[in-house]
Amino acid sequence: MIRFEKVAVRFPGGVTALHELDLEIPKGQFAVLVGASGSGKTTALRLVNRLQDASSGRVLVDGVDVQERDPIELRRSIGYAIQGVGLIAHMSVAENVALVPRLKGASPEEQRAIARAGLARVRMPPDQFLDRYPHELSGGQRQRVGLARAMAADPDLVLLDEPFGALDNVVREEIQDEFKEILGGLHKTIVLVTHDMHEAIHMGERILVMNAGRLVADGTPEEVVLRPKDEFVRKLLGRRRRELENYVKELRG
Amino acid sequence: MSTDRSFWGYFAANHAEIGRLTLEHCAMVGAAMALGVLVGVPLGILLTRKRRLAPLILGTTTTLQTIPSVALLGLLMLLPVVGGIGIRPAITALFLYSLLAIVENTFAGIEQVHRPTVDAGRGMGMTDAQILTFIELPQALPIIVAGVRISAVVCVATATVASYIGAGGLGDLIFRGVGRANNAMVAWGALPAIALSLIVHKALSAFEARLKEGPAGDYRRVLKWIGTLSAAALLGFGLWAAGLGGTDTVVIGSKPFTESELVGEMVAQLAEASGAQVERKFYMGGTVCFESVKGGTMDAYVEYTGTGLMSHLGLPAMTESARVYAKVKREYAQRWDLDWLAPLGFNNTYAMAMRRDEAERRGIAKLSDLRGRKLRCGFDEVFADRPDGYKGMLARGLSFCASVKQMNSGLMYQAVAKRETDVIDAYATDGRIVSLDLKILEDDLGFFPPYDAAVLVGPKLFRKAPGLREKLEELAGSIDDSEMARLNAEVDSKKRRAAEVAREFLTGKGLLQRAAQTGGPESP
Repeated sequence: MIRFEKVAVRFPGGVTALHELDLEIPKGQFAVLVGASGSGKTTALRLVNRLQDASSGRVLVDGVDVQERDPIELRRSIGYAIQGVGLIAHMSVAENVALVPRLKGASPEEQRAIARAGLARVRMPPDQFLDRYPHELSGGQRQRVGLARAMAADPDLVLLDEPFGALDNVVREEIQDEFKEILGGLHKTIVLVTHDMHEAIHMGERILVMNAGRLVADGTPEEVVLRPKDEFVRKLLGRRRRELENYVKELRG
Repeated sequence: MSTDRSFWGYFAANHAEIGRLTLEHCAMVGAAMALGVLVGVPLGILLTRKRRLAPLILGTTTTLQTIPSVALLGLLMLLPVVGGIGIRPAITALFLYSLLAIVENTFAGIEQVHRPTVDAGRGMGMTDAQILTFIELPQALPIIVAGVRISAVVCVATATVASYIGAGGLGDLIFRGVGRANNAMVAWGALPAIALSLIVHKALSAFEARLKEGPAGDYRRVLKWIGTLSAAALLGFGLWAAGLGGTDTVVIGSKPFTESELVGEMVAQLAEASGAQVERKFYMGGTVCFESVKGGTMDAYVEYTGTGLMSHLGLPAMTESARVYAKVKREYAQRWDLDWLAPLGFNNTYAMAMRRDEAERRGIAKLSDLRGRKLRCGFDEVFADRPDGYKGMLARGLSFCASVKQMNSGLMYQAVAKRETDVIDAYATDGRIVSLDLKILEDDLGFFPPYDAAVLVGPKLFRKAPGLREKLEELAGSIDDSEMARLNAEVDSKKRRAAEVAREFLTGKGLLQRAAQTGGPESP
């Protein structure tokens, strides 16, 4: 469970990235933070694993203030994947996937086994991919390796920051479907950040719309898209509103 | 064994020495580069963490790079521990030069590492050290290696200059060869240095290419690499420490010309015959010998009374030999606790020299004949500015240079022989005056002060080699002008080894037992 209590982030120079955010994401929920760039969605995500520290307020993970936890140990307990994945170019797929277990001191045999299981989980034949290097993979394959890496230590909480940002449209939808299926079966708490409303609706069970450092809408896809309360959300949906409404209905259908 | 002037002849006769000097060169460069990497890479890493230091550190390393190498060596000579003469200041200087490219490339290499990769690493719980060794160093490695390559190639070339302060290496052959106008010797100093540069360049380029090729640059490779370098650095420190040790070793020096080497050899061989361990620091630049004896890093070398009086003491010229000697002996003892032993017998005063045919054509025979002429002058590094040199002549109204070229004394003789200059400042006992058929202009003005050669001794010499004093007293007065010119010509014209000519002379005088063949330039 994640809880934000009046969390604000002000950068030196006077820019406020986040205005007092109050938010609770219960265990096992798939939440999507959606908004334009500069909306504060990524800042909110990075507060959870202490890549960003709050200027005021508290962030709690499983009831414990993250400030009271060792940042290294905290991060190793949380799965994390980012846009372009951040795979390490000079390490093989196996080494990349088993990185966190290795940091935690797993033996080479354990690492290999974890990499194997991790690849299988994201539907990549381990024998074919374990010893390849990132530059030998397609964009979609890299994305899947990135997900496998985020899940390798079997964390209860997974943070995904624009994980599909680097993919072209056709591949993106395919991977989104796959990720949804894989993640859906794991009962983990997942927070995904995206600028794409379509992706948010497609992936999340809860949509959190951010604008200019504030949370402007919070609800299920239906609530947010079919009954938008906020002027900004209406604008965000814009010309695609009809299309997205149909999409939500179709998903429910 | 006499040396040869021809390229392959020289190699055949001296391959052992060439090999030894090449190894010395490699050790010097290796030690300096290892230190450069072990200090430069962490410094570069520090800059990526503490950016405010960047202007200071990069500014310092850039400034170091701009100091001319000879000047840096000259400055280091005066410092304790890292300075003095020999391999220590040489390694220090080369190390300082190597820093710029290594620090800059490490900094730039880490700066260009893909930020999202670092961010992902941090987000997964890597510590700063793990981000450095798992991500940043492996990805920056090709650029760091490029920096090491640039430094190493420069270092191989710069190391030849270290001969100037007695560090050995291939520069020895180049300096000595230029001094003796022996082109084969110069070539065998230069060619191995060029070859070393090319090998270093090729090897590190290949390493770089392999790292860039793909994902092969595992961080484990980095660690091995650092380990190897550490070992090399330890070796470097070993050499460095070896340079510090041996406090009982007698250090004998010489200035960078044949005569100084010959008499230096004589002193060295007599010291060895008296049972001392001797280290030769020959062919040292300009005032390096004097500064070293004064500073205690050298025990003795042969100096000239006139040089002492005017260059070191800064006193006005005097013309009487005995008074000059008495003056320098008293002043040196008072000022620096150094002792001038009795003069060796020859007076290597300055003299103006011209090609014989050129002098006859122009009708110049005496110093006074030069007055008002417009000649092309070639002077050694110090002559133009000395009160007993051209500066003093001008003060006395004796002006004759249309142009003045300053050059190394070896090149000076070649220049006059090839008619590139008309008149040079020769030494009265120089063997080349005979071999190049030069005419010494008679000093009808009584202008040149005496330059009597004598052994200048530091306070520790006779403590280290107690039996040496008697032998050096015997040597005093035993070499006159013509004998010295003959000995010089044996080395300069006949291309014989100075050590061999010196030994022959000493045994001839009965100062050395025929069997006591304990030393030579190959076994210092």
